[in-house]
Amino acid sequence: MISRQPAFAAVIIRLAHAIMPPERRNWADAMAHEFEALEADHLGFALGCFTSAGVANFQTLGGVSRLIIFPALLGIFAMLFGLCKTAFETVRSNGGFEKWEYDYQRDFIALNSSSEVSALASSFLLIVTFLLLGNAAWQLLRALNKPADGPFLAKRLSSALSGVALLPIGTWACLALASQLLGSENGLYPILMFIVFSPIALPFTLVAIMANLSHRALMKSALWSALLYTIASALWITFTRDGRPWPSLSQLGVIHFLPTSIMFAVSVCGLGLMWLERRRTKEV
Amino acid sequence: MKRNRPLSKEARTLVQTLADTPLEWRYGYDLLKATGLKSGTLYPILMRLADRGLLEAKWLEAETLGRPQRHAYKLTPAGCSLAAQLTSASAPDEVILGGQPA
Repeated sequence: MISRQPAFAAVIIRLAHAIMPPERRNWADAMAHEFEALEADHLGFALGCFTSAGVANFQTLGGVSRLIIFPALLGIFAMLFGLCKTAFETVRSNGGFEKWEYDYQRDFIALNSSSEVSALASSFLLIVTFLLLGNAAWQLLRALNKPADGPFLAKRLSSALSGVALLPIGTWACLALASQLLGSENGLYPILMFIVFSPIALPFTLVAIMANLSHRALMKSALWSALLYTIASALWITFTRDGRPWPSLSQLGVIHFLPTSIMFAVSVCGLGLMWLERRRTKEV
Repeated sequence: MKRNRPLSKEARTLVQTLADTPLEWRYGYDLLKATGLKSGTLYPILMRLADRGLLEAKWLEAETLGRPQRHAYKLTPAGCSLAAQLTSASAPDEVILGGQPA
């Protein structure tokens, strides 16, 4: 019987090659060629190479990227941990999974000025989610493209796709936090929904760690994500209103436009910083 | 900015293995077997040593026809002197990784 291990290992080696930063591409070739000469333990070797490629990305990160990525990673893992913990505690205190009726519209409308702090917390987490995961998807597609920069269309499409993929995660994360912090009676459902969606987020997060995180890409994908988020929020409110009054401007501002505007601000500041950094490098 | 930090145990093993045959080009797989390191440990160390100018790398034609070229490694003179320092040092774990940049 032909072992499937080398075939699987070959896929991992190709992935390692794809995620290796361009300045280390020679080393990725070295690993791939060495793989051909192995006599045993193809999988172990391939996994090791994949790890090396991931480590190489961290080592080659620029200063601005490090400033953004590390808090972002911390934020996303803290969010996942916090929500999972809350969900399990809620399930235990509710005595099981029976009480799942949940009117998310009511909780959404119930947001008022007193809940601005909780909405701010949600907003921050949303920004982190969108920045990190949006970039991850883009980078993954870019990495899988053979040319270093990939075609223009693929870049735009992947940016857009990453934003769409993250909408349910971000929305449910926001609802879950809001309902928890507002003390909703049935805040369990959005949390569970978030946990359902978070497995989608985890691979993206891992790819973000492994992929070559360029801060320019990060900022651009944040801009795209913010745009998509605004459109999707508007559509969501329009189609789920169900005869109820429109949310007030302050409610909308806190829950929807605040994250978006912060994302825009972060992106613009980031792009400005990068421009300055590039100019300084040129001068040197 | 590169930091000058003490060599890890794994890096010391690798440097000493390479120093055993200073004139010979060694392949990655060969080094894995000789040092007992995993590829996930070996390659980052090789990259770091090369960045510091302690390791030289070049592509060699494969011995078997139809096989791809292989990347081979040997210590530079700076790498050899680091290996000598490791051998002579009373506390090898305090030897600093700080050769000349490549």
